[in-house]
Amino acid sequence: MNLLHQHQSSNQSSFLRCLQGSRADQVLLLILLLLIFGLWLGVQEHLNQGPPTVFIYHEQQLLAQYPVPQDEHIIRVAAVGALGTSDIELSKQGIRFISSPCTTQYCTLAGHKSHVGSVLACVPNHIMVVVRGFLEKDTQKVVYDAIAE
Amino acid sequence: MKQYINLPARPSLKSLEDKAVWLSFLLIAIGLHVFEATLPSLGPWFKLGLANIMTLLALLLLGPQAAFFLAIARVVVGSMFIGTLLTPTFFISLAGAVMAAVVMLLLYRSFANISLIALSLCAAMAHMLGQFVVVEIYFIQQTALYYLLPPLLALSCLSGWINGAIASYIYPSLSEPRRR
Repeated sequence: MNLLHQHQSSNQSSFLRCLQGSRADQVLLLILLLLIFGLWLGVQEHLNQGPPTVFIYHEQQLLAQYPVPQDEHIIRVAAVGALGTSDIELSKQGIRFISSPCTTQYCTLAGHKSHVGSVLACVPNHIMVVVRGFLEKDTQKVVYDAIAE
Repeated sequence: MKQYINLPARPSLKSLEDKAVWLSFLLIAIGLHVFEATLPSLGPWFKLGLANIMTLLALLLLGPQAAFFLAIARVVVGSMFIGTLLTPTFFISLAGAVMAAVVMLLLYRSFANISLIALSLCAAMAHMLGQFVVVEIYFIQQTALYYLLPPLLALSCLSGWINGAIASYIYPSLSEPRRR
């Protein structure tokens, strides 16, 4: 019994040693985390320019853009994608997919997203919803025939 | 007059043993792939990548070619089990697995003393990047998709580290009997 306990504890300590990694591994992890942090800062800086706006895309096409609702007003958008229509809701709580024709339903299960930088995507239906700052270049033509409000 | 039939040469015991090990690794990798599909995930792009442990072990025990084919085979067969074969999820998964395997093989060939944790870390990052590139090229052609990348890469670092540690823990007990 004692031997078994000893064996188990030595196994645990050797796993913890493996989990610690070598000094080179730790340095590599630190470099990667610093790079990711730098990337995150860059993304945040890009996102926070201009007032927060919701952009709805189907592949390369911008289907609609709305300022994030600040009052009780709810906007429902039916975006036509590769498989069918995805229903998207914009409200004070944020953006969410109400329904989508995909089988996995990851998009509807994701729930509400409200902060700047949020991305909701229905990959099978090729629909993506992004919240980010409104930029000068966003004054491009919106394809309104692909949506119903 | 006796007639001799030219039979193909018998495979060596070593090659048979390698095939058996490869198949057992494949079965474990498929099991891990299916198990991961049942776990609640943080999103469609984030998985723990537990099956990559088997690719890492195959790389060290069986060689680069076996590891590469193991990565592809487990995605194909695993997708059959979870019912996602030839769906977008399958192609995203396949791209991630192939990218991870390629990065693993390149690093393994380039750096002789590279640790399993370092290999796993880089493979996890490559896995995530590969998935994003495929989604961006084939499904949603919007660079805004990359806004999701930094937090998911950070999570990949964590999962890559843990997978590497598990592989380093298992590796000595698998390599020891094969040396005898």
